[in-house]
Amino acid sequence: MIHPKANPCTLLPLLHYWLILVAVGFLASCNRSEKTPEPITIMQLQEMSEMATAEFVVSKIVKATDVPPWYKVGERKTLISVKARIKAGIDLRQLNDQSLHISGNSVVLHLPPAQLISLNIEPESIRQEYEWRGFFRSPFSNQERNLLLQQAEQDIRSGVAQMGILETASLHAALFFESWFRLMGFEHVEVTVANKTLETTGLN
Amino acid sequence: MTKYWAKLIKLAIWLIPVIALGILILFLSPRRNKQSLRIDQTAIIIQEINRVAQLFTARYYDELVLDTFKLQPRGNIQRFWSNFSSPAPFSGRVQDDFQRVDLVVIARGTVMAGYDFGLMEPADMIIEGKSIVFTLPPPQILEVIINPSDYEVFIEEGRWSLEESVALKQKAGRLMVERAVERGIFTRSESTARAILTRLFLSLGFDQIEIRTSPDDVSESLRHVPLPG
Repeated sequence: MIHPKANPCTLLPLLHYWLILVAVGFLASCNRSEKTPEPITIMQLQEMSEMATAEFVVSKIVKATDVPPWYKVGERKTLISVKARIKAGIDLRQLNDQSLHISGNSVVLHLPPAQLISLNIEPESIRQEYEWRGFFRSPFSNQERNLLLQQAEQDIRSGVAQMGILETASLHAALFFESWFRLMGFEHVEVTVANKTLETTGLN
Repeated sequence: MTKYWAKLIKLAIWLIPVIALGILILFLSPRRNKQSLRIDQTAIIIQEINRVAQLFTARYYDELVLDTFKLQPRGNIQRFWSNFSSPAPFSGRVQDDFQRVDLVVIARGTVMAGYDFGLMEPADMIIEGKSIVFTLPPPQILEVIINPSDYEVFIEEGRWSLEESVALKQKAGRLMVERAVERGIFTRSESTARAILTRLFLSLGFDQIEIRTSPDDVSESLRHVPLPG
């Protein structure tokens, strides 16, 4: 289709141009390679030795706006409310011979620091409160909603430290063991959590 | 005129690959698949703080694939194509107005079992000198956890509401509990609890330890738990 009288040498820059474009296209496609994650092996049935002593029920509103890319028209907005039940307590496997000191009617218990035992966003607690979409947009899919909920779960998980649940769990654990030991006949009970004596008197 | 066409063709030879490359990069770009969702930061409200005494003694992990389908009315364009592609004797059926849409999910979950010491009575612990008789309450399913990060939508055709997705999660939860009970979560739970308590009572100086189990059977203990759905 090139002019019949065209010099073949004038086609060389065009050929170089095509080769460069093909190379760039190839390199762009190479960027998509993804690492295969390492397989995780988990025992299906495991033992646990954790004593939950504090339960927090928290709620969060997920507020999201879908700002459309250039090839779509119209926004989408959604509000989803979720509730999570968080339990924290003491890992009893960490109790050892040094954790318990008994002399006569006195007992001193050193509890390990409290830890998060479970975070449960129950399916029935997830509610779509509001959804708005432009005329040309489709509703949020469950895959998209799940991404929003995953973000909410991550926010709640990272907020556990600021909620004071671990401190509450330590205090409740101290109260639980104190009342247990008193039932067993010990008159002087002292419970410490990670080298911190807890004032449990009068909290029962 | 020929010169004009030659110029036009040359211009096309230069432009077409540039446009093609632009489209290729746009579709291959990892940014294309990224969500354009803007999630605002909202507060976490603490609604309740409860004092509990639950001994978690067994954990069961499971992964299930669940699928469901429904019939959804076809759109006008889809109906047109359906009629266009179907041979005449078969067109106009009721089925032509509806299409089957599937929802397939992968749910990973954890079932936790143990004992609620909050349900114990003072009579459940009898102490005489250095001997102790401790009656364990029936083991329970304390948690069934299928969080959003454990849940993956594999295939979603048509439109599925949040409630329909929640119902599928609840079904997954019920199936996981059934499978956990079948695999002996309560037996494992009891043996672990016995080991923990025996060790604790020995450390406290008791030399005669008897751990009894509550007369309630396992099926009875399931009734105490609000199972999902």
